[in-house]
Amino acid sequence: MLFNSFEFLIFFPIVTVVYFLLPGKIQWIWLLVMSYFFYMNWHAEYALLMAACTIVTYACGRIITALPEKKHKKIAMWAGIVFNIGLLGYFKYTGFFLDVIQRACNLLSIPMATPKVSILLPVGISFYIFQALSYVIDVYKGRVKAERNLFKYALFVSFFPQLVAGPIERSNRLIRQVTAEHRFDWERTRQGLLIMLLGFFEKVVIADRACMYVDAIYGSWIDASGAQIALATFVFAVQDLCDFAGYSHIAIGAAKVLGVELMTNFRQPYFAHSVQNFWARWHISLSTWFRDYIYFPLGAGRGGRLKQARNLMIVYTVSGLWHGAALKYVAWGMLNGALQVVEGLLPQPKNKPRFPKLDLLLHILLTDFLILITMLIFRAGSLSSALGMLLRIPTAWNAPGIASGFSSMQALCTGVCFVILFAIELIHEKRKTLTELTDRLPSAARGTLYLLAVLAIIVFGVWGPGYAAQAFIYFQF
Amino acid sequence: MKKKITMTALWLAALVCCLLLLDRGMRRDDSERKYGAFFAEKQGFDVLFLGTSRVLDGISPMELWRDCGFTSYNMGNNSEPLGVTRWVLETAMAYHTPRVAVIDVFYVGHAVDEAWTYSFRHLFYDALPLSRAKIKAVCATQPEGERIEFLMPFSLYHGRWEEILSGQVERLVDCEPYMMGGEMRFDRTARDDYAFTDDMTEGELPGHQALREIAALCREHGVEPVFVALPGHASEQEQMNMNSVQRVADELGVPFVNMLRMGIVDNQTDCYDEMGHLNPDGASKATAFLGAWLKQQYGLPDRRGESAYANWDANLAKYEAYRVENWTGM
Repeated sequence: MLFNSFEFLIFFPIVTVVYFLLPGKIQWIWLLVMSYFFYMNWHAEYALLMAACTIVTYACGRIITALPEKKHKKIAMWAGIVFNIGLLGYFKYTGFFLDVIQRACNLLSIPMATPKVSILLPVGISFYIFQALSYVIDVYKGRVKAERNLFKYALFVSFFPQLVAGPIERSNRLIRQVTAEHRFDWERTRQGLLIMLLGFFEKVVIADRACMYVDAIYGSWIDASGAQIALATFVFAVQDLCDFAGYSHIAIGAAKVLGVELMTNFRQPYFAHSVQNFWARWHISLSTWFRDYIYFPLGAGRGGRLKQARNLMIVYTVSGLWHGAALKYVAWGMLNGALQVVEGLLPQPKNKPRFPKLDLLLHILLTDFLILITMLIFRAGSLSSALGMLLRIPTAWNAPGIASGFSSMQALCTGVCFVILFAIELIHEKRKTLTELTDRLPSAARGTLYLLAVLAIIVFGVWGPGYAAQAFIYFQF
Repeated sequence: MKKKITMTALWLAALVCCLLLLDRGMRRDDSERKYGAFFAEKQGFDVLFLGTSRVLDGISPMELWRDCGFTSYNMGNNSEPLGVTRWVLETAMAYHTPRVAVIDVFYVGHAVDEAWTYSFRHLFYDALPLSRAKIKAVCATQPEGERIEFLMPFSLYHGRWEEILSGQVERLVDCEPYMMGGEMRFDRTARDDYAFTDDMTEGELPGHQALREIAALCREHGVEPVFVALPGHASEQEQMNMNSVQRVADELGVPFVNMLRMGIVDNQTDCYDEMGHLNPDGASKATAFLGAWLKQQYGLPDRRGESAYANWDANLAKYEAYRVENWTGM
């Protein structure tokens, strides 16, 4: 069930109304049932996979708590990690690794044919497995107590708003919240719905329309001009942000309506002044997961610059693999790591810049330029296509190009939406929220504004049978 | 609390009103121009014509009014198989029950799923108000997963802002509300290589069962069914298919007016589209023949001059002016 589907528009109000009508003590049971129903809408059988992940990590948590010896606790933790990584590896990376082996054999002229496999990737598997893994590790580290109730723990793993594309929450925040009693609150509901509205604007109005242009150019990049590839890469950068941040906003808003506060997942990433700063603003829940469970255990920046560089490269290579089972993702991750390593090696300016705002702007533009290069690799069909496109941008800048099928009216609509998005991001960057701004208006004006926003999303949104349904990009991770 | 509930209810009511207005504004107006007058009519109709574009272009309700004095509506639609015509008739009868239902059998050889063009499905369903009859018809004629857009056309048309703002709106049919569902295409093409056959297709065709259901439906509502094959070019197979309707008509005791080779129209002047459809001259001849036949067979009333039907005279004036303006001298 996609957030931008008719089904969700029926599902969510029903879940919410029943949730607040139920006695507080059993509200969480309703959420658990509905979360599994939500997930089973894709492939019912994959709920078994999620249940297996839940039972194993729950059991690991209980065993870790019960065992007195540290080394035994460690074995229990590793058992949980190996099981979950094995599950992820089988469903996500079997084909990739077989392909790598085949390529290596071909390169070394070893006569071997690896089997062709076709395994359907369960929706959101990378997200809930990471969430469950963080729980096992946190229990082992003594950061959280093991949850005694299997079903309450199951709700932590499966909580529907953030189940399939994050934010990847931590057990110390989420279990307590999702199992607590919640009363209906007008103000909280209004704020939650506004956040959802922003998410729908980002997803159905911007991301899905931008996707049409990006798909047309990236699908025929060999005939596209360099200028078209550059423009499509810029548009994709916005599409990717709106797609993922849109999902996160809908998830955060939906959870808020139900009384659950999820963590912020995006903080104006294209206002970042360095690649490192970009990753502190982009997919924050994943970045902090990698920081807490891989980068810190590896030693972080301790032991000199070389070790820090090694640790960064490991983290971002793993991040690349997490995003997809393909060489281009590995290259994308490594490039992001390498850029941060280089940033760390650059000498820090001794004096304050004479024009700090201009200096900041230049840093932001340079960072965005570097991020655009990484985005091109991320979106390209393959690593070789990415290299070909990067080469084509300067060498065929003025080539005749291709018909994108994107009309001037569509382009105008997209452009206007980009400006609106920029304004919203700027407001957020100034540490203000849309709710704060609209609260200053008289209630009638505020209501009219909300009404116009809803109508604009409905009219200009890419939804319904006239458009191909666009799934959220991050579902595939 | 009470104030908040009231404000929320008002806001939701405003949203619904705006959506209804948007729904009206964003829709293609072809469907409304084609079928709107049918749903708006208060007096009902003496005759309904149903079927494909052959009847859509070939029968003029306004000329029937002018020459015969009975009221009729042309429900014909492009590439409409008889399996769909059966549902069009049922939904139409939820609004008006005519004395006679005339069924064009040109698409008797076509099954529902293979023939009905997507945009013409919308042409019919878009103007049809949401009702039990419509839901039944949509479920019977549209595959699962493609039904929402017919029940809620806004889900399809919300994206039409681009077409509307750029002024590139294309018409599906040349209908105006005063034509009572009929269409006029002002064109003329001749065709000489045309041979007739009296042979019949053996066995059952996809439309035969639909004709039986149509006859049963008509009798259930006290309506007289008539099957008709209108003049115009038809391949040998199409002629044989239409001829085979005689078998079903005999079985059901329904009159079958086969006008294929009656020599009512002139192949050189009265058709367009490679003689596939009748132009206004051909339509006038076919309408005059069928009108006289219906009047004689069913004793249909002459309502001309009745005050309740004054709007029919006004529509006729518009119809004739439109026809003269576009057709004279071609």
